[in-house]
Amino acid sequence: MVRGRAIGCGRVGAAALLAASVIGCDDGPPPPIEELVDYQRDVQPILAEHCFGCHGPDAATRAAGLRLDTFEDATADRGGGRFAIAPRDPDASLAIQRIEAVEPSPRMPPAPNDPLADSDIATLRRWIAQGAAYGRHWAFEPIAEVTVPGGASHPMDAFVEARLGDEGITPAPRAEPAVLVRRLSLDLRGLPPSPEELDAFVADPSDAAYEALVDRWLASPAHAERLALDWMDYAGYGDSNGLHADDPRTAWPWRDWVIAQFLANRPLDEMIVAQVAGDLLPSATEEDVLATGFLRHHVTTGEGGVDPEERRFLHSMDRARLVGTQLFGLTVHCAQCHDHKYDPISQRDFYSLIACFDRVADRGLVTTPDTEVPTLAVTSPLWPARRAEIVARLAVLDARLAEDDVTRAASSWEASLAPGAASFVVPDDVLGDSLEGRASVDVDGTLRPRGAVPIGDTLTITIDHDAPIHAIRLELGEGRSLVLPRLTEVTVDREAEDARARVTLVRASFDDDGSDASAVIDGHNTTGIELPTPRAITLVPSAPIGAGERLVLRVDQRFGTSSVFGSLRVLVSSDARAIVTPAVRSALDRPAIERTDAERAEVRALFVEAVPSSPAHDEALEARALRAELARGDAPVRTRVMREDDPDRRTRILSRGQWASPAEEVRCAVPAALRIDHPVEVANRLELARFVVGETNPITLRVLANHYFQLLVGTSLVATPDDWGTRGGTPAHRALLDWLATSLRNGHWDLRAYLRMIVLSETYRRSSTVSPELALADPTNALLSRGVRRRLEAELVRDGALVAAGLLAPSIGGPPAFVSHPDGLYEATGDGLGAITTYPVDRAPRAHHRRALYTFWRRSAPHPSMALFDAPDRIHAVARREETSTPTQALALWNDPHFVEAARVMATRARRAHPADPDAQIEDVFRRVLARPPTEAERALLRASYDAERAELEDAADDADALLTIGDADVARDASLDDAALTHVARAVLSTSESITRE
Amino acid sequence: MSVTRSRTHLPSLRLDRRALLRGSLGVLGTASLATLVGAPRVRAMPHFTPRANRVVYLFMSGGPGQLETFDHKPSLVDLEGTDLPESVRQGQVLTGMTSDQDHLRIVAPRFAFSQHGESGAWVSELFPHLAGVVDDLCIVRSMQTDAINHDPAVTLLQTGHTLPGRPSLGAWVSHGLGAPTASLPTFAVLISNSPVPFGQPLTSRYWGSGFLPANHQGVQIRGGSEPVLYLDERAQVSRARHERLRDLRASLDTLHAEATGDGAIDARLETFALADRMQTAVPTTLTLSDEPESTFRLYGEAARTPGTFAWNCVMTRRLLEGDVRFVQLYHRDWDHHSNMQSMHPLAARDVDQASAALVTDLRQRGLLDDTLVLWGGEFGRTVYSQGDARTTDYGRDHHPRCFSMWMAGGGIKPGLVYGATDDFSYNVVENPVHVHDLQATVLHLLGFDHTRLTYRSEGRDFRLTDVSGHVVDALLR
Repeated sequence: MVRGRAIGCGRVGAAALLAASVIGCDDGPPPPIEELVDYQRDVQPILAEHCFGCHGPDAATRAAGLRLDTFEDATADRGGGRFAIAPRDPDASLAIQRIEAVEPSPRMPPAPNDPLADSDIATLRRWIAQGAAYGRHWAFEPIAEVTVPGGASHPMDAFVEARLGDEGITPAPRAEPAVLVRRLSLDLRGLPPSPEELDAFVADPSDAAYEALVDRWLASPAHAERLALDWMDYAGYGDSNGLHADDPRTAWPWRDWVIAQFLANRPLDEMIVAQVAGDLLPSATEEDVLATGFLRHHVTTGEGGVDPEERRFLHSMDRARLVGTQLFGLTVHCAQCHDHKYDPISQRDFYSLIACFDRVADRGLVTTPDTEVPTLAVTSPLWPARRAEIVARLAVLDARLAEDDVTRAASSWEASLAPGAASFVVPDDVLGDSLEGRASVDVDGTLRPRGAVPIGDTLTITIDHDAPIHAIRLELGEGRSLVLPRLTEVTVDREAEDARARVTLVRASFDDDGSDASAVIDGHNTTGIELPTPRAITLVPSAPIGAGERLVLRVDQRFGTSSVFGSLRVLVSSDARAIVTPAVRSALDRPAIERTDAERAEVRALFVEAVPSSPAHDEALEARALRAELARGDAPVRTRVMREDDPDRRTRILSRGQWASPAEEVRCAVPAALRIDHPVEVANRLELARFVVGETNPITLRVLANHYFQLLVGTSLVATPDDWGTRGGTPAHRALLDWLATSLRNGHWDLRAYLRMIVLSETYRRSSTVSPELALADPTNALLSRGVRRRLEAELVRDGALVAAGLLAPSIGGPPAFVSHPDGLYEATGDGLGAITTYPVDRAPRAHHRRALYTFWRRSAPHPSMALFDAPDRIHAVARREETSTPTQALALWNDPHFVEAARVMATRARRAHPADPDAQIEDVFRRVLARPPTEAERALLRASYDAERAELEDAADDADALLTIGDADVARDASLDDAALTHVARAVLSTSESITRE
Repeated sequence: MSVTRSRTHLPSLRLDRRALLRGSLGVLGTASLATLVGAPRVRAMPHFTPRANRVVYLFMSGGPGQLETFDHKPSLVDLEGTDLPESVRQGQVLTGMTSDQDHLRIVAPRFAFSQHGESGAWVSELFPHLAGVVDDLCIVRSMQTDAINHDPAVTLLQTGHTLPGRPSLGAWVSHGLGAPTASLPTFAVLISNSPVPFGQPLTSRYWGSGFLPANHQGVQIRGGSEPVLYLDERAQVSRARHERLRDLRASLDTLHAEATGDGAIDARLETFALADRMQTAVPTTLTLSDEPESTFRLYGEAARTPGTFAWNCVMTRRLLEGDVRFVQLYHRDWDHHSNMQSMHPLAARDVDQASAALVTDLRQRGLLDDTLVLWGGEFGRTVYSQGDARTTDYGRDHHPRCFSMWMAGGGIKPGLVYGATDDFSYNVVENPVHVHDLQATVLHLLGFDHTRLTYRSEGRDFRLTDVSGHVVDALLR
């Protein structure tokens, strides 16, 4: 165990820079082991906190020529036989005299600092009395081969229980099966368990069943996504440039690469080498190069007037900082202006690290995608698997569509079409509204937006028409400003009594030349068309709209520095010929024999997709959607990567960190403190990467072993996972930490095996209930006597609601989703500058139900409900998230449409599953969210509240309707007041502490 | 960390600060940490008696020209069209927007100045209303910054560093003062609607909490139907139904807290109750319905329109009355590389009356004594013209070496004009005030020693003023 471990006498450290010497060996009798002071654990934190600021490694700020961080310096003769530290003689030590001084003037540390605590002074005295032995900072020491204590069968438990035994503490029992299965699911997959998974484990909570569950979940795509989410924080991933106009960037292929690696359980060391230097690997593959996107997540700016060379250097510095903080665990960037004040990192060390990342032809100023170089054109690493599925499915669908009955039906449909074009008319009733301003509707049905000209807008047009509608025509007028108006998306919802459903549109084409306009019906506001002159577009639904059904059109103009239309008119046609687009019309006007193959195919496609009576209509729609997905997935995108394409670049130290003061040149090198025992020269990034995961580097292994321990167990073994230097804490379980690091290394960096080992421990499985005994014996749970309770990350809070509602879209990877988002946020801060001026919300409903790790991450305006739940802004990489509790979190849980939608969808599902049985419905909702049945007390509470709500809703049916249409999910035709009352229950349960806590 | 927390929700435990900071912070676990930082009614512990209890920062984003506002240089008329002497510029790096100009030709401001008040301070004709309250103001003409471009310059003023990642001024104040109010956020942010698009973008990190816990980030107040995000019920509900939802949730939490012994649940019960109160207090605060006509005479008719600078100023006063401690207001449209002659008057017109009205209103309500008002941009503008000056218009580039600000109330000496620049309004020649000095002074007025209001992140004790900054005693009352 750590406590009482004697400091060995040994070799004198090599680097003068480092407080490396192990000194103080003497022949006196050893002190009793329980009183032995450990420099690392006991003394060094006190000196680092109070003394090293002026008497530490930084020569520039050193006071009185005294440094206290090495034995040689601290014990040097200060003249006349006086010593700052006099080993074995605290009273003769000047440092002690000054620290203990009563008067503020000689006292150290000087005012306004507080005097040292008596207990600290006592520790220093004892340490000096014992010989004032210095040792190397523990995190830099080689990883110790530790002996697993006897007792428990699982080594991790053996360490924890040995310590608990020393303290006489009996740890908490194993968690209840329902609690454990929820914990495991949240930790491994980032999602709560399904009711079926819950039931299965509660029925059989045996070790064998647990192990089987662990193995199944570790191999699941959801697990890879959960690890990727964590790694995105760790790398500081963002979908935007971060500074000034904060334009979007294409970083997601790297994110998909990460998911793919975790899914394949690629050894962690290989993953790190690829991310730091994949482009330099011998015979590097495209994916190896893509991996280096890790080093290109840093923020960039396109602000006019910025010095590109200064920015370029800042980018190199950001890369060095990323590797320094996240892989070495050291605050290397603190040495930008001077030697590190607390850690043995010189300014030279930091700039040498920068030199490893400086030989890239980065332009500094990023104004357009062309200036993001170096880039690589790629498709997602996750794409081939999905592509193969699509291709296989399309083969089946296409075969069906080629069958004779389809051909015959198509021919007879074609023959039935009368010649000539269909006529379009103004609908019986038209209402219009503008999100940004006002809108009026003329007698001829023309909608005219009024008021100040906005940058973008969404028009809502409600149509009632007493005849069936076969096609809709949009007549788009001139722009309201000099900027060309851009149409980005059109959606059509049909609304009947209490119900709402999206109309599938299968065609969008220009009337004048028949050209394709499907960019406005692809579900994405990031694509669209610009219209220099007024034009009309015809939209064809997959089935005619029934007479009397209300239609709601949403017309988006929401991307780029756009402009808006000055007028817009909607026409409809009740003529079956209206679906025939101009291109098809011209083909039909000619004899069949004269048509091209493409024309024949289009006629046939139009028939199968837009005529519901056609055989294989559903197959045709599915094939259409898959083809769109195929086209999107196959299109390469350019993403930022690393290249060693500026080999002659010279990197210089900047005096006082000042850009204008370059000093001596440095070359790529490992920080000196990490190569004491094993001198290593690295010539480039690849060699640095190999050092990072190499045998001689102790710190990265410790950092990563701790990181994944923390991810699962919920607590870090070091106090400061973002600082492994001298100001960080000394671990209470240092031997366990070293054993974990060794086990990761001995397992050849097999992360999945490492995670499996952790969750199979008893320590992981303990109950987190805080008994009065444990609250006293281990108040902060520092000794891991019980399970850890912690609030879920922002993404898990959002995803959990989707899972409970059965809304989660299972797709993996791909471009980020613009999930629903409060209106006006981008407009308030962006003010018309840059590529995104208004939020280009996705209109494909499923996009809103993707996992939150896919949500578009704009650094200047992160999604508000994520920012409220402590998601970082990802300006820099972080090793951990803060966790706060704020009133605005409560408001988000209650009123963010995301959660209200989940509640109402969940309610309808529960009501359908248990018709006319409110108790069963309530239990269903409760279990979906909290993965356990309610207690009797909870049951009574929930039912009483439900009944009261249900009774009041009798007189508030309109409120119920409003509640049951919130969000993007379809609105059920059979939704009732019961659903509204049950939604009330679901909202309450979703906003409980338990729902957002991993227990 | 120089602030002691008054209570924790850990079971039967008094944590001592040292143990928290060293050693046990990480193993304490984030859940229990959250109960510390998220605990409501954290007590403020200033280092000495504060002169100001509240701050309003009227941020003029884009950078108003000091020559057009408060730094009167009549001699420039004679120098119009001549090149800026190298002896003045002293090799200073220019932005990429003017660095390739052949000439740096001086252009005199096209606005008249006159003296006002007992102090006799010179104020440009762009600010007739501010001129009327000039004896309440302390004008600093010798501000200096390190950054020459918008994003880093605003970042420096707001966070003490040109690179992103540090907490904002308001977040530091929230961290230092704690939450004195039970129903409104401590730190509120308001952004004027821009009458003209293409101002400089703002980013949420200007009011972010950086490495401080997220509960210190500014809460954006918007001039619309939902002034605080997610404040409104999604569907119209009766008060009874609203309370039923809250009660059910609270009852479930209480039962579960008893079952698990989880102190974080108790803490969250309190913050959720605060959310409930916010839902009532925010709409009551952010309304004009009980404002008398005199308000609109004072602030101007624009104050009737949500989202205007004037409306935001009225809301600022109402928020301060509701004991909000830090209000950060942004107004853009000051970045006039060209068209200064036509555009600066428009920007000034949007802010002049309401800025002066806010000072007057606070004074009349007895709030000015302990409310510090700051007004200014992120840097100044060059004495020379960007591009060629015409008789009808001209422009100025960014200038970091000097700019003007004013402050009022909260322990600031009124009627003072502080600092001076050279004849070209290029270099400060008397009493320079660096951004860090300003920040040190603001914290001082709030009762904090800027060197001791620190927070440890990544092993270092960070402070707003980084490694420099001095309190400017001469500005203090």
